[in-house]
Amino acid sequence: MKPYDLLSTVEYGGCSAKLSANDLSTALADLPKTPHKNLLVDIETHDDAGVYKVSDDLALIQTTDFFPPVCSDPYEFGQIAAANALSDVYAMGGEVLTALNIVAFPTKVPLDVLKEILRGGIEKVIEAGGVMMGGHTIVDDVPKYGLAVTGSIHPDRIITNAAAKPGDVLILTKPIGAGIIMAGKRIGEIEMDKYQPILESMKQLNKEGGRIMQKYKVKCATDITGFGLLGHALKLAMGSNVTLKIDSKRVPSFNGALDLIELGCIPGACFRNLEYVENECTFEKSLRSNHKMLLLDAQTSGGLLICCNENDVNNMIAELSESGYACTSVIGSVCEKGNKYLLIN
Amino acid sequence: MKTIDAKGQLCPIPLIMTKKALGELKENETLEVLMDNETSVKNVTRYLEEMGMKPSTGKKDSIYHVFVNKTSEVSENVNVEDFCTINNERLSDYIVSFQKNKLGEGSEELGTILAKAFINTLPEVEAKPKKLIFLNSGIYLVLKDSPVIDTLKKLEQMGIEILVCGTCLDYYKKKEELGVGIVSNMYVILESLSKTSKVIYL
Amino acid sequence: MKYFILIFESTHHSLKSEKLLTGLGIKFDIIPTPKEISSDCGMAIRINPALFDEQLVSSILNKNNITFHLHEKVYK
Repeated sequence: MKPYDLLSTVEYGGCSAKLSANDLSTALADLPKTPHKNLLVDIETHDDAGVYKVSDDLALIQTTDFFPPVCSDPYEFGQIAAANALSDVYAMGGEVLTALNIVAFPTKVPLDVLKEILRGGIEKVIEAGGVMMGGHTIVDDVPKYGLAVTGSIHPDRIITNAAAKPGDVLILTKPIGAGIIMAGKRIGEIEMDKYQPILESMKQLNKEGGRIMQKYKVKCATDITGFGLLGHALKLAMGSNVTLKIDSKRVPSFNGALDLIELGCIPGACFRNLEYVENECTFEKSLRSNHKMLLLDAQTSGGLLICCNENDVNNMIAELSESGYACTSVIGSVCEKGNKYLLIN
Repeated sequence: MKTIDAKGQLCPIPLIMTKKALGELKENETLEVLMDNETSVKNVTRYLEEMGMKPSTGKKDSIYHVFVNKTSEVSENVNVEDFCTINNERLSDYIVSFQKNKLGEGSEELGTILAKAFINTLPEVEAKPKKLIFLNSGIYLVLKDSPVIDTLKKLEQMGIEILVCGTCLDYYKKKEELGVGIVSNMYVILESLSKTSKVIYL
Repeated sequence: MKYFILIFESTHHSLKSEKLLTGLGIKFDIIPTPKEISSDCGMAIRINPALFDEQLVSSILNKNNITFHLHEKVYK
């Protein structure tokens, strides 16, 4: 049986399915808020995850994520979508408890394909130590898959994207450029040897990263997904009221991504993310346009951007590297709030 | 003036077409790009602005025309080595082929430890191989529980291609346990071996 | 990044230590002894300082009559 190519169901040019950050802000503006004393982290700083206190030593993390296929193989898609949805729990330093499937599937695609997607998702949830509780499926022309996840965390140990301190060092645990390489694969400009590493990276849980952050008592971090490194860095800078300095030369990227940008293979998401960050960002003259696009590339199931105390940097990097995040790198630092939230060179 | 038709093309094709066309133009020549959707227009004009040019857009009969004068050498001569260490690795034209999961003949336990040391040293070697091939019992080195799996993943991320014999994985019934690299076949492996300058057989 | 390198007096000791430390669940890499530490061909063990429990490691190796020397090396 010829393997079914999930990407054949996705007709648009593969631009990331996320609504642009600006559009999202507009849609969310002026909606009624529901403040509550038990709401520890909410929509103000984190749009797709929240934390609710249940008792003095337990808070629940709730997060969700789903999207159309990002690769051809259904099982890999299930794994990647699940890892992506689970990521927020780890970015907050929590542990995964339970998950629910969110599925949209076309009637004309063989059910075996759906089975493989779900198998990928379930196996990833099991790997995360969670329990799959069930889910909900609707019919749709374009398949979509993801999870709604519940995690647990001690209320005093929540890692947020609003607690960066000047003097902290910025660490990134996975390379960027996955979006560009996926676009390159879709148009046949990239070979398997450069594509396989990004699939492996996207399937990789941020679980160990979360554990190591808690070990070193990290207070501030975020995971890098659809808004790209700079988009998520901006949210963190705004949430913490600091300026982040990022050195583009130190940011790890997947082999082949820069070559693709050179060809002009730049996904639309890069431009959307550029629109979101440019007013709050100073790009130094030394920064090449191609590198700038790379930093704006939307990631799926990307790494953790961690604000690390400068005394713990070496040990943290060593442990992260040993735990499977081989490309962990220092990419910049946190400074007092200056003119703009981001300073990129 | 050169005109390129990017109608019906989805991102990022219009950008690639634009970049290619600009490369073929002389300085001060004008390029016209035809598109049929606003998103592509926005992205192409932004892309040209980022390259330091000043595009202008017109619309006629629901077709967008973007005009730009090529003002400077488009290719930034990106020096990949300037960028991050991941892209920095220059790979040498040789392949290492692991025919078993040990090095040498004689003691089994010595052979096993030598193989591990060999792989763990590869990240530091200046002239790194462009590919690693794993055959027969060599496949044990690339399974999820291999003691050198992290090093091999690091090498893969550096751009070193890892090819694993599919027949061998199947024979040992380890296909589901592959931890790194791509499942390959004799054609690909033979092609790789025959096209390289040097092969180191272990 | 700094690593601890454990050097042994014979390859047999390296082999035995590898088994013992694996049995303890300690994460390490087998590497050839760095040239700057010793010119003898030999196998050494490289451990990340954050994962190195000196007391535990010394105790198990000494119990098995294995002497080792501890060095440090910085890897880029």
